[in-house]
Formats: sequence, structure tokens, C-alpha cells
Amino acid sequence: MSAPLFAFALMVSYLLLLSLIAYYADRQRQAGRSIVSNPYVYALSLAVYCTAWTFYGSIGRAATSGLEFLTIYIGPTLAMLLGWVMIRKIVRISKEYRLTSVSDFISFRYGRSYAIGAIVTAVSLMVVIPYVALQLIAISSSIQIISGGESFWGTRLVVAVLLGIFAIIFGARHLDPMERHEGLVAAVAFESIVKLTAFVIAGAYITWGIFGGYSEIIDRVLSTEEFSHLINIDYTSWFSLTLISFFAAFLLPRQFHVMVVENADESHIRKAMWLFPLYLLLINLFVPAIAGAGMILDVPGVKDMFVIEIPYSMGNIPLAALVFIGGASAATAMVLVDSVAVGHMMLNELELPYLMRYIGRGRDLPGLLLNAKRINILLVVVLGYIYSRAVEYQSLVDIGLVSFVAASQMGPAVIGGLYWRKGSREGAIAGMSAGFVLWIYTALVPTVARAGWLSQSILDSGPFGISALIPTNLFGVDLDPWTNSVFWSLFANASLYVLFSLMSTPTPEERVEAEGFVEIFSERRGAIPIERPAIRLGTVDEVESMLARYIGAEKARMLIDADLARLGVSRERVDARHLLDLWDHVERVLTGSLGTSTTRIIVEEQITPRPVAERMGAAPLKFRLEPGKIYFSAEKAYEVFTDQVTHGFEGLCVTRRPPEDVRSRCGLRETPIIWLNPKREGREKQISPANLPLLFLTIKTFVETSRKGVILLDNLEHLVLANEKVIPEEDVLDFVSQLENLIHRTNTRLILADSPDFIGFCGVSEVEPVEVKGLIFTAGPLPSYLLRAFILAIIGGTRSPEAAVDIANSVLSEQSGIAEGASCDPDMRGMGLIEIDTRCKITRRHFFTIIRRICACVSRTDPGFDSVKVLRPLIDKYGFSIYELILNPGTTYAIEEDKPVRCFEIFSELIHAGLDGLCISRYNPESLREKYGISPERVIWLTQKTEEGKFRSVDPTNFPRLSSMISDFLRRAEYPVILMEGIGYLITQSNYETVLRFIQSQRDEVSLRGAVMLVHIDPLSLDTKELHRLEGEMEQLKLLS
Amino acid sequence: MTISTKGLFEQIELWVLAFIIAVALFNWPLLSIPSPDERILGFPERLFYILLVWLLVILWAYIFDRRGSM
Repeated sequence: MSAPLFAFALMVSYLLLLSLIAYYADRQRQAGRSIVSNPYVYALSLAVYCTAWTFYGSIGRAATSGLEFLTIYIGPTLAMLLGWVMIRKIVRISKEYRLTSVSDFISFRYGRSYAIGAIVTAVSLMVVIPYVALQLIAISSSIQIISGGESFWGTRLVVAVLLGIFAIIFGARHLDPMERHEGLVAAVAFESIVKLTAFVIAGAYITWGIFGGYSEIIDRVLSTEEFSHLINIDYTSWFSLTLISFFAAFLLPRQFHVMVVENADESHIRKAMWLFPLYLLLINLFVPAIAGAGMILDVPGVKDMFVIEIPYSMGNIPLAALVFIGGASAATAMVLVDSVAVGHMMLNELELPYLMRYIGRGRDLPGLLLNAKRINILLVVVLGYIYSRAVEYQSLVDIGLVSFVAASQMGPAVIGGLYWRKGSREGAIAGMSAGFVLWIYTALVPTVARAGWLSQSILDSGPFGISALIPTNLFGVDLDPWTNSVFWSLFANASLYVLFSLMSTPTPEERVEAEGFVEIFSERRGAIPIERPAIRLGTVDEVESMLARYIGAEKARMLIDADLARLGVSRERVDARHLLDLWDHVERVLTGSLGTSTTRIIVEEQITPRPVAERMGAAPLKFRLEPGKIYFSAEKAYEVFTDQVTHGFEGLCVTRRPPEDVRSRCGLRETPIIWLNPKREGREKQISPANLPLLFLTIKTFVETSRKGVILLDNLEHLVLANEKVIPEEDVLDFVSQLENLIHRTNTRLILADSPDFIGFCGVSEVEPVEVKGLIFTAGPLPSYLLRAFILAIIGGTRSPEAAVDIANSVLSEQSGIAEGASCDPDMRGMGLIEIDTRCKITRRHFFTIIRRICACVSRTDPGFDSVKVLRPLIDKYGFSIYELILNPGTTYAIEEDKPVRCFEIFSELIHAGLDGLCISRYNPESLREKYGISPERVIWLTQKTEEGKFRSVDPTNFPRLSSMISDFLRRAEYPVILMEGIGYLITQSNYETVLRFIQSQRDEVSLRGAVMLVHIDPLSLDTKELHRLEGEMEQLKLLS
Repeated sequence: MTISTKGLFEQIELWVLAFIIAVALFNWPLLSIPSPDERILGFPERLFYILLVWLLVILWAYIFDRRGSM
């Protein structure tokens, strides 16, 4: 076997051994006997920090710059000193909110910002690529050395592919909601032991096997003038390297992953606080000795490779092989963990928010996500390979330092996020963006220029000859290149973070999350009222099916069952409180699987817009709309809406226009806008026009949470016509009816941006918005839908349905403008087809006249047909009163009861159903309001004593005045009903004959106007003849239970 | 007035102080105190100093861990 192949075989064998260890660890975890959940394994896993950079690069650095290599390990040591206060805080927060990456962590803190998640992911990818390149260069160089200088083309590529495949095996076998990989952690801990052992053995061999001890090496190195400078320290460079390695210790993607995500118990941090620094000390103990030995022996080749070159050149092949395994181990761990961590971040923060828009239901989403993650892992390794080709001239440490400076750019946002409530999203974006740009300019551009990809003149004289902008010496401050990069990037980053945070106002969501982060350890945190956005609760099955879509059905079911068991409730007995808790948990689970940004998108579909008022306008309120009413305006709807929301009203805009158009047209900044869009585009909240239940629930929750709201709907015609033949007519009717009822019983105003034609108004002025009543009877095809629904109910409730169809069509054809004309196929008659012109407009009164007529005809053919029983469900559903079906317009009815109770109840029911009512009564209007909900404006109080102006009243002997008031009412009302109570009082104040004549004249007027009059009679207060004469003027009303 | 170390390690301020002291010990000007030319136990004084501070930090964290597990 050739030497390179032997090296590959060795490497593959080692990787297989690691796979076995990982497999064993996963199996043990499934059996409930985790081998990873102990502090020693945790501390060893942190040693993934020591990569090929440590194994090879530190030696090269020590040989060129002396003690400076130690800064890379002093930084993490200092970071672990803050382990109990800072790292434990990060771990606690991440567990609490199920944050599974550094991008998740930062994005969640700053208002779950998609932009921040994307920036951090991009930074992390840029951090990892040079690092992976470093490992690939190190492994391929070490292969070449132990192969005796032999190599073949593609060594590095083969190594990259091998590592990519193993990274997929280790980190992407399944989707875990908490992104924990015990197998991976076990493998990393084992690797830490292997690399430390290999390095210490190699160091001991070189120090005592080749030389006479540490002192001899140091003496010989420092006595050589060429190397005597190595003991000196550049304090500025020392500080800046310590600083960036401090940040790298917990912000490098792999470090965050093993330190935070894979942490099984916070108490493990205690052990890690001294074990990890001790590990760093031990693994660096022999670095000066090996570097010195290499210089003394004048080992050929790059200084980075001294640790493997020295034993190989001494003929100690087994030790060289051990060192090779140690180095490969160090590099492999880094590539495995980083590619998995960054692959996960790329999926959640960059890809999934876009995939979400286009993934249809029914797709195997968990499978798709897993494959995407695998592709990302391979992509990270491939990009690292490409980078390694571009920069292989550089020392390993220089390649690595580029990554460290990049990772540090997350430092201000993280530290600020942990301890400063005022740290805001704008600050984090500004700071990280500026830091990132300066990092590119001061660290990446020089690297690329030296590789020949950019002109060298940029490093010599600056861009366009501006020497103050030389990337490695900005503004001529004469710092070493790394300090130059660290200083300017972090200075700009931190300054802008603070400045923009102070200038911006955090959203309520950000404030809650800031409080949650800063006070995570505080006991009083539980008492802080955390405002929850209202969500559509749905059912347990809906929660489970939503969760299953993203993590698989079985996992979703197990999680929901576990949650219900935790809540101590069964699926059948779950209530709104439990559902709220379930949703909270679901959100956290999804955050763990899909990341903060994507979860936000999903959950926001369930979250309704929060009522918010715009900034107050300077001009006075132009349009006065009354609460609980519906208005329409074709041309001025947006103007009216904007007028309202800029004068203290909380607005909700539901529109078919793109939200950005609406915002720019109306100058709306805060008002939530829902886009009625069947396709998912952009990031605005969207609801499909066909999803009327969700639209209604969204509006309903807004109405219920606003104090004085106004809703603009643009427009109802679009909603109704878009759903013609798409969804059942009943769904459209339900939506409109529920919307009308909702508005009428709340403080909200509804503005429809609809044309008068659609709404059913003719010759309407556009100066003011026009109030609409009874939308379901006038808007577009809704009257035909309603008629059809009622008629179908009648047909379904009779024993002679064919006859009922014929009766219905016959009645309809007698009504002009309702039945369909020539388009109707006569052969279709009698086959269940109801022919209704969808353009028909019908008043409420006319509607019930038709229904009554049909019911009466059907009753003749089917004596057992009970119209009240058959139609009651529909009447209740659409908020009508059953008495509308019974009471014939133009009729006066007598309600005989001792006390006037049922008559007031029926009257109240009718006016709340939407009829225009007038109540003439002996009772105080205030008491009628309290007892029956009858507004005093609808009451004429029969009394001789009253306060001027307080209530409408009339002297019981003043019949002309009373007549005149009734006539006025009948003239104005569209669908009038009058209740006459107090007949006995009228009789005692005047006489029976006068009252009878009065009743007769009103009866005639009611008949003429097509109104309904209800007259309460106490039969015991009249003698038989008087009662009989009165009853002769009226019909008896059959009271329903 | 009583002085007690009970609960000392649980206080954030102590760790911040320890961190500041460690940063100071690891950097200029304190780092410039050990001579680059002198030796202690065969090691350059400067290197010895760095390793010593390092060990002190490890010891400090070890004591904290031991107290927590007692």
C-alpha cells in the first residue's frame, strides 16, 4: 500500500472508530443511560476549541512570534472565569427559549429579527469557511509529511468529502427539536483525549527524548541572536488577540454549540470552569519546546508542521502516525461540529423563511428539512475547500485569526443583550453591519489581495492612492495588522450598537425579550406581566397537526401527549388556558427545530394583529363615525380610514392591495395591514380570501382587544366574488353575518371600500361615508345566497321536497327581479334547482315575506311542516328574530298577559335583530333599558310628570301628539315595529272609546305603512265586551317558548 | 460588623472582580514586570509568570467547584 493510501486508511479507520463511539452514545441515550451527561465529558467537549490551529499552527506562531500564541488560550481561560455568571446565563436563556444556535440567540433577543438572524448566519459562515480551510490544509499537509513527501492530486478534496460525509452521519441523521447530538459530543470528547495524548507524548519525546529537557531547548533558542526576540511581547497585539479569543471562546459556532446547546446541566459549567483552562494549559505546555526544537534542528518545511516533521525525520514513524491521528482528530472535530452548527443556522435563518412560502401542504417537510441541512453541511465543507485553495500560502494562524476577528463582531450585541435592556434591534443591526464591513475591509481584503485576487496596490498605497485607507493601517495609526482590524471593527461595532440603541424605541416584543434575557436569574421575573399576543387557539388536533408538519407526526403526537400529561388534562377536556400553554410550548419546540425567524413566521399566522394607534394628525377629525356601525365609501374609504387612525382610533386594514402601496399611499406606519392574497409573497401578514374563518377570527380578536377601533375592508365585493364557486355560499354568508353582528355589538367601526352598486345603494353622494344596514340583504349576491339557504332548509324539512321546489320557484317567479329569467332551463325545474338571480336586491321585510309565503304554501301540501322548527337554526345563526318569520308586515297583534313581560322581550329581540322599533309604554325608559336592553331613544313614556328633555314623553290624554309621534316614526323607519303597552293606563286617563278609536287609527296607519304593531293587553283589566272589541281589531300572536 | 465568605462565590460582583484582576495580570503593565532575561526553574521568568497566573485562575475556579459540590 502506498504511503498516502496508508495515511487515508488510517484516517478512515479513525473516523469509523469515532462513528462507533457516536453510535454507542446515541443508543445509550435512547436507553436512558446517557454517557454524555456528565461534567467531564462536557469539559472535554469544550476542547473542540483546540483544532489543527493548536496542534500545528501554535507551533508555527511560537516559532515566529514567540509567546504571542498563548493569547489564543488565555482568552478562553478568562471567558471561563465568567462561566458561572455569563455562560450559565447564556445556557439558561437558551434552554428557556429553546435557542439552538448563536444566530437564534441573538435574533431572539432583538425582537426575533429575521435580518439579524440572517446577518449572524452570514457572519458565522464567513467565520467557519477559513477555519475549515485551515483544517483541510493541515490534514493534507500532514498526510504529505507522513507519506514521505508523496501525495496525489485531490488529497485535500478527498479529505473534504470524507469529513463532509462523516459530518452528515454525525449531525444530520434526524431532526431534533433541541438540536442535541449526544453521539457527536461523545466523539468530540474522545477526540479531545486523543489529541491531548498525542501532543503531550510528542512533546515529551521531543523535550526529553531528543533533547535534555525544557531548559536546554529554551537556553539554546534564546542564546541564538536570531531567536532572542521571541521572548518579547508586543503588548498591544497581545491585548487585541486576547480580546478576540475571549469572544471566540463562546461565539464561534462550534463553541456555542457544545458549550450551550449540548449542555445537559448547568452545574457542569462549574467543572468546566477549571477543567477546560487546565486542558488548554496542558496542550500548550510543550508548544515552546517543540517550536524551539524545530528551530534548533533546522527542520525543513513550514514551521507549523514541526510536531509531525520532527518525529518523522527522527525515524519514529509510530509517533509520527500518532501525531497524524492527533492532528486529524483535532481538525475533524472542528469540521464536524462547525459544519453541523452552521448548516443548522443556514437552514433556519436563511433558507427556511423562504422555503416556508413555497412548501405546499402534503409535502414531507421533515424529510425536506433534513436533506436541506445535509446539503448545507456539505456546502460548508466545500466552501472551506475552495478557500483553502485560495489562501494556502498563509500560515495556519493567520487564516484562523481572520475567523476570530469575524466572530468577535457578535460580541457587543451578545454582551449588550445579556446585560443592557436598552440594547435594541436597530443597534444590533447597525453595530454588527459596521463591524462586519470593517472586518471585510481590514482582515479579508488583505488576505484576498495577498492571494493575488485583488491588486496589491491596495495594501501598499490604499484604494485610489488614499493612504489613510490602507486596509492594514487605517488612518495611519501604525498598529499591527490584527490590532488594526480588531480595533476599528469593534470600535465601530460597539459605538454604533450603543448609539442606535439609544436612538431607537424597542417594540413591546423586544422589551419583553430584553427583560427575559437580562432578568433570567431574577426571582421577580415571574411577576413581570408579559404581554402575550392574542392567538387563534383552535383545537388540540390543530396544534398537533401544525407541529407534525415540521417535525413529523409521531414526534408531534409524543410531544403533545407529554404536554397534556404535564398539564394533567386529557384531549377531550382541554380548555383555552391549556391551549395557550400548548401553543407556548409548540413555539419553543419549533424554535428549537426551525429557528427563531421561521417560527415567527409560522406562529404569526396564528397571531392576530395588535391594535395600535398611529401618530396623531394635526388637522381636526374630518369624518365622524359612530361605534358599532358599518359604512361604505368607494372613493374615500382610505381617506376616511386614515382620518380615523390619525385621531386616536386603533386601525386594522384588510386589503387586496400590496401593503407597501397602502402604507405609502396613506402614510401608515403602525397600523397592521392584512393582505388578502391567495399566493404567499413577501413578509407581510397575508390571509387567503378563501380562508374566511381565519379572516373573521383575526378581525374578531382585533375588535375584542381594541378600545376604539376602526377596520377598513377593501373590499367585500372582492371577497365575495373571489369565492364564487370556490367555497360554499354558506361560508360567505356566515362571514358577512358574523362580521355584521360583531361590529354592531362592539365599539368598532367598519368601513367598506365598496361601490354603491355592490352594496345596493343608488344615487349616493360620495361626500360622506354612508351607513349600511343589513349587508346580507343588499351586498352583491348575498341576498340570493341567503334566500337559497333558507329555501333549501325548507325543502329539506318537508316530506314533499319536489313540491317544495316547485312552490319556491313559483313564489320566486312572482317576485320581480328575484327569479332568474331566460337563462333558466325549464327542464331543470322540479330537479331541486332553485332559480335565483344573483343580482337580486331584496329588503329584509321582503325577504321574510317570501319565506313566509313559501312556508305557507308548503304547509298546505305538507300539514306536518313546522316552519319555525325548520328555520330556527338558520334564523339564530344569522342573528334574526324568529318573530320576523311569524309577524306579517301591516298587521297589528295582541299579546295578552297579566304583566307586560313577553311583549317587552319580543320587542327587544326584534330591535336587536335589526328592526326599527318604537315602544310606547307606561314604564320609565331607564327601567326598560336595565331590564330588557331597550334604549330610551326608542321609548315614548306615557306620563304626566317628567323632567324636561330627559326622556321622550307624552301626556296620556294627548292622543293627537301621540299619533303625530307614531306617524313620524313610521315615515322614517325602514322596517318598523311598534309596541303599545299601557292601554289600561290610557283608558283610565281618558276613556275606553277614545282609546279604541286611537287603536283603530293606528292600526290603519300600520297597515298602510307595512309596519308591525304589538299591543299588550291585560285581559283581567277589561270586561269581556271591551276585550272582545279590542281583540277584533288585532290578530292573536302565538308566543313561542 | 461581620465578615463572612458565605455566599461569596454566588455574587456576580466577585466574578467580575476576579475577571478584571485576571485581565490585569495577563496584560500590560503587570505583564511587563517579570524580566524576559531571568529564569525560574529553567523557564524564562515571563513565561513562568504567565503559567503561574494561569494556574492561579484554574485554582480559583477549582475552589469554586469544590465549594459547590460540598
